[in-house]
Order: sequence, then structure tokens, then C-alpha cells
Amino acid sequence: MLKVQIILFDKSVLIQHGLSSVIEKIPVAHTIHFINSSDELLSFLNTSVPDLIISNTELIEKKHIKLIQEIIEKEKIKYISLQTDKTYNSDSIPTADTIELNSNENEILEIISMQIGSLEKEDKSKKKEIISTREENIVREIAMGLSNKEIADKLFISQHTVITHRKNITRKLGIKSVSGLTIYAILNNLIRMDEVE
Amino acid sequence: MVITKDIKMADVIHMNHFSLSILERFGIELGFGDKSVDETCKIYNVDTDFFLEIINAFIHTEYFPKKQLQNFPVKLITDYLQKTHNYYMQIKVPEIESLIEEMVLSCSTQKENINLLKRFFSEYKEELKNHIQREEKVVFPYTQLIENAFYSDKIDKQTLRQMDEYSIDIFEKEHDNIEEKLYDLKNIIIKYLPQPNNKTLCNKLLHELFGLEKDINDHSRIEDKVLVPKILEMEKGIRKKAGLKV
Ligand SMILES: [Fe+2]
Ligand SMILES: [Fe+2]
Repeated sequence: MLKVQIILFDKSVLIQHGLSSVIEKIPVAHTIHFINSSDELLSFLNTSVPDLIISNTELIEKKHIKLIQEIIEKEKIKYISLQTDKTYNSDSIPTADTIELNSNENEILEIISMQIGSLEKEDKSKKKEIISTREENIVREIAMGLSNKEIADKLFISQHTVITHRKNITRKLGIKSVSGLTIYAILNNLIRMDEVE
Repeated sequence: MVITKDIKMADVIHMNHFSLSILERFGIELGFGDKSVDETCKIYNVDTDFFLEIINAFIHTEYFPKKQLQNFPVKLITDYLQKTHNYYMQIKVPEIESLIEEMVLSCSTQKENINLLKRFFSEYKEELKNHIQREEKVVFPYTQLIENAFYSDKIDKQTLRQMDEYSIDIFEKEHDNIEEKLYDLKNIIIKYLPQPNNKTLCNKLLHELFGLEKDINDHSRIEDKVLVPKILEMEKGIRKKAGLKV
């Protein structure tokens, strides 16, 4: 995975630097962009796509909210809301989590790490999207040594469907044999090494 | 270009260096200077026509099926096939095994994954061994029996009984694509294995797998397209001679 791009949006220099010093403690390659105004945030989002936004939602101007919300949803950007006051939290921007001003360092670390962690997971799953989740399940069962009939019974589908899935799997992956599919399953974390045999 | 008996043997190698392994099987050694295919074959006591058919079939996959190969004695064909078997089991497979072993030893980041390849290949070796054993113990002796009977004046009961028990169409049906798994292994390395730190070794391994796959493919083609039809014909002839329904 490339460097995680993080936007820090708050007017207070103290908050920006405080947060960035906490983020530095997370052992993931990243770049932090400091942003001070709603205009600046929008123009940043118009030119590049960050992975994570930590922002004081209150500071986003009303006229920008809809646009920003659309970009965040479309690009699946993680949004952490920075709450300086308990009064305001826009419900239009899909918020992944909230950092409160009085949170301690561990709490903040945990919230940000979780979001970065989920980014990595999505990155991995993007890579192996060659076969569908259904097909993945079938590869898993094949690797476990189940026969077509056993797979059909277990997944409540007909044997015929299992055979069709197997054909598609072989065509997509270029792997036909059970032992070949087993290696594929292990390499792609569909199954653990110790689950085989 | 189809190879003929007057072409220089050296040019055959230049044309397709994979044919080195064919020469090795015929016991032909390098250093043939400017001698032609025919001259070289004579020195090594190799049937030139048979050599030409084999090498052409190997270089041009579309060269088959040619009736001519079927005129050669069964023994010539099965001897060649057997030599190829030896070449796989005694040279190629150990070579690949030691490459994989080397990869396991030199790899720091992917040991577990390379061990998966190792296990896959040792499974494959077992299958190949069984495949070959079946051919050498059952199929080849049977083909010799059929040829002998075909050329003898009268057909004895024992031959007919053996034909009842086993016939070449059984082989035709049970003869599996033994190179298929090599294709799997290649794809795993090319598409799915995270690159190990020793890329040179990995590429060497791939190269070997491509070579072996092609070779086995060609070998199976001779079994399926030459040996099987030849024996089928002879079986028919024998039945006819014995006054049975064909
Ligand atoms: Fe064979
Ligand atoms: Fe074979």
C-alpha cells in the first residue's frame, strides 16, 4: 500500500500539531496535509483524493457540505469528525468515528489506527477481486478437500451449480487441480495452512 | 520450416534450442560440425526418418497427424517414449526439485510459500511416476504383444484373451493430461505468488516448467496420436484374421 494520505482540518494550530504528533506514533507510512479553511478543503478534494479526513465538521461551510459529502461518499474516504463542542455534528457527512477534544492519547490512537487498518484491509480485498466472494467460498471448500456433492450440500446449492462455479474459477484463475487451488487459497488468505489436511 | 535429412544438424538446434533434449534422448552428442541430420544420425545409429518425424512433431505442433510415423515398428516408438520417461524422472524432475530447494534455502521472506510449491511439485512427481509406470508396465508390453500377433501367421487364443482383458482404447480413455498440473504451477508462480527475493531463481524455475510442460505435451501427443491409432489398426487386423467381428 502507498502512503496513507491524511487531511487534518482545524483552525487551531494547537489541535493540528497535537493530533499530528499522535498520528506520528502509528507505524504506517503517511503524509499529513494541514488545512485551515472550508474553501481550502474543497479545493484539495477537487484535485486529489486523501484516504482519511480528520476534520472539525463545524468549520465546513454550509454551502460546501453537500459537495464535500458527495466526494467523501464517492471516493469512499474515511471521515473522522473532530468534536470541539458537543453541540454540532453534521449528519449529512458519513462519519466513520469521532474524536472528542477531551479524548486521551490512547483513545485517539485507537480511533485513527482502526480507520487506517480498515483501509489496508480494503486494499487487500481489491487485489483479489478476480473471483467473486461466492467463488472464493467454493475455492475454500475445495481446498478443505470437500467433494462437489459435499460443497453443494454445505452451501445449499445444486451440484450442477458447483460444477459451473468450478469451471468459472478455473477459467479465471488458470488453475485446475485441487492442490493448485489449495495453494491459491492459502496465498490469498482464504484458508490457513494448518486447516489443510 | 520442416526439417529434412539434408539440413545441417547445427541449424536444427539454432532453430529451436529445446530440441537439444530430443538429441540427448537419441544419444546424439554435440560437436557435429557441419554434418547433416542424416550423416549425424548414421554415426549414432539412429533411424533418420524416425528422428525427422520426432523432431518435426516436436518443433511444429501442427505437424501431426502424419501417417508416416505410424509405419515405424512399435519398439522404435516405445523405446523413444521410454527414453523420454527416463529423461523426465532422472534429469528434469531432479533439476526442478533442486531449483525449488535452492529457492527455499535462499528465500528469507517467503519460505512458507515456497514450501507450498515444493509440496505441490513432489505430489506432481508422484503422479508422473505412476503415470509412467503404468505405461511401461502395462501399455508398452501390450503394444508389443499386439504387434507380434499382427505379424504372426496365426493368432493364438491367449492373445485374444489378453485383448479382451485390455485393449488400447482403455488406455486412450484413462490416459490423463499429466502436464495439466504444470500449467497450474506456472500460473501460481506467474500470477499469485508474491515475488520471492531471489527473482533469478524464480525465473529459472519458470523457464524449466515451461520446458517440461512443452516436452510432456509433445510426448503425450506421440502416445495419443501415433501409438494409439497404430495399435487400434492392428487390433482390428488381428480380429479380422481370427475371424472375429471387427
Ligand atoms: Fe509416457
Ligand atoms: Fe503418457
